[in-house]
Amino acid sequence: MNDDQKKGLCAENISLAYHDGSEVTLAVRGITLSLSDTGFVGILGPSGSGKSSLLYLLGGLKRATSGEIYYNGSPYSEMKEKERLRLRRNHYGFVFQQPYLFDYLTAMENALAGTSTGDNQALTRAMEIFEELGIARHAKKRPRQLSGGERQRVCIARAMMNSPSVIFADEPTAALDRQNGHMVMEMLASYRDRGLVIVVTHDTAMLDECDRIYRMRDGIVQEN
Amino acid sequence: MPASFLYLVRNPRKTIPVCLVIALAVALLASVTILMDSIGQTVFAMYGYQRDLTVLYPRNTLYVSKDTVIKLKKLPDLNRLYPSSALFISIKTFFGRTPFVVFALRHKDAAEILRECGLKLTQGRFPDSDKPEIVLSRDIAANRHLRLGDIALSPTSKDSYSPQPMRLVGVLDGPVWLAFTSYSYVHDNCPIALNGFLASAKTRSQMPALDREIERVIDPGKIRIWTYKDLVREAYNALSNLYFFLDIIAAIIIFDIALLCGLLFLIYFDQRLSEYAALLAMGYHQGYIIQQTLQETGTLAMIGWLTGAIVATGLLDYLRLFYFEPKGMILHAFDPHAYWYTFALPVFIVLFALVTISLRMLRIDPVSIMERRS
Repeated sequence: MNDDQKKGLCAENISLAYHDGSEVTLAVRGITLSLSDTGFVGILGPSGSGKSSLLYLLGGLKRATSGEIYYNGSPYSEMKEKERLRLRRNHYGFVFQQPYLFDYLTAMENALAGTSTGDNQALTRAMEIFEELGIARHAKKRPRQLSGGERQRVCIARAMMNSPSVIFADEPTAALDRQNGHMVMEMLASYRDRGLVIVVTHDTAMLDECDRIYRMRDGIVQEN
Repeated sequence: MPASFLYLVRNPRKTIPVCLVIALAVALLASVTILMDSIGQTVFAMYGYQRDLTVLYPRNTLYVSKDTVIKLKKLPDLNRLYPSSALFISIKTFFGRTPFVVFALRHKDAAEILRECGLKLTQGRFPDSDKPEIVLSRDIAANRHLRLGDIALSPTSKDSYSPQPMRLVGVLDGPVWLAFTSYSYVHDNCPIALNGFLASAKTRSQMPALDREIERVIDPGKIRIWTYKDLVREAYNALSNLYFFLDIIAAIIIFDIALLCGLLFLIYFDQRLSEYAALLAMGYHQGYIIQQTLQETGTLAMIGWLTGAIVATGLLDYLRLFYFEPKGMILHAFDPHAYWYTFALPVFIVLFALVTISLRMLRIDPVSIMERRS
């Protein structure tokens, strides 16, 4: 992989092994991929295929057992913990299967929790995102007053707050009905022109809008 | 408002019980400490005149010998030697009824002694010579529920004896307690009363030197002396055991409450694991999360401490007003020493939370929490 290929987010022959006593399970096996700065990428595969592990590796939440991941040419393995945290905080956004919201904060405050500043500028930006995602009227509601789809949209808003270069979404529609699931995917897809969106799912129907789909099986990826 | 304070404000069902537990513990510890401190404060008010006067009374005889008086008068730090006899009035204390000395003093000596002790006659007058009349500090009069004209000592009293009924004719106000009557009355009517002296130095700062000089020249087999130094030592000895027990009780309470609150905070922490995992995934440092959690813990502990301090002050002020002052006993409802003493409680709660939460935080793997897919 040459230097040009290392621009954006790319992985070079990465593997991830889990140790359970003397038993070693390879969740990800020697994957190499290079992702552009923008677009909507899907990672598809059955349960246990290693797709979430790959997402967490790319997002810097797990360390690869071997291989290297680069963000704009900087290898993760050479980054200090603080630099990795800064990368996640300032350049990445995360949406998880469950809408992990703080129940004592309002929807708006939850979105602002993803920012390092709580100033008026952040508030204006959060309101713009809420408008865009159609949840502006729920800004002052607590998570328990929102439906599953609305909660997931608040999570997307939180992920978008810092205008990240990459949004990582791990099964964001798994806990939603089909209609809400499609709505969430549309919202994630709407970010494709501003940055890269990587979505992990096992549901093919949710990937209609993807620019590119990687199918995974037994820790190995194949481009579709 | 920072998110950590929002958590406290918006979770009253979790925060109020913790706050109340801390407040009750602080109120309990502060109250016990203040009540204990009041014993010492009362003792030093009762016998505080010894800061300005050393008391000398003969042993095995009714009079101090002339030789001794001559030696005493030559002491370099001596200001005055006041002849004095003694009767006793019984007062109520924490430890039951205690005799309090009533000095028989000459009129002009009494005026001088009041000046030296910082006392003022604010009601009534001095006792007339040869008459069974008494002047008491306001606290002693309150302790005995006496008003001007009431009989303070009587021939039939078990513990406040005088050959004739002795009426209260004057009330003193000032930092220490004092009781005195007419020297000539006691001299003429109490043939077996001891005739001693009260010795004063030129200044209060010279009193310790005067005490040392007196102890050097007198024969302790013939003269019994009461000095301020002895009073301090006796009070310290008497109270040190009580304070030792208090320290043990305080340590147990502080440990128990810190443990209880620390465990509660750990339970609350565990209930918010997904919140912390989300923050870690978003790129927040563990140290930041620990700092936020400790901010919450510290704020709650301080609110509990303040509530406890306010409750204790209010309760003790009520006690002071309706129980202690009417008996002439001293109680400082806002005693900084007591509140500093209880400050260990919030400090230990925060320390305990710091250790347990930090250990827990170090083991958190955000991915494993996110992947639970609960």
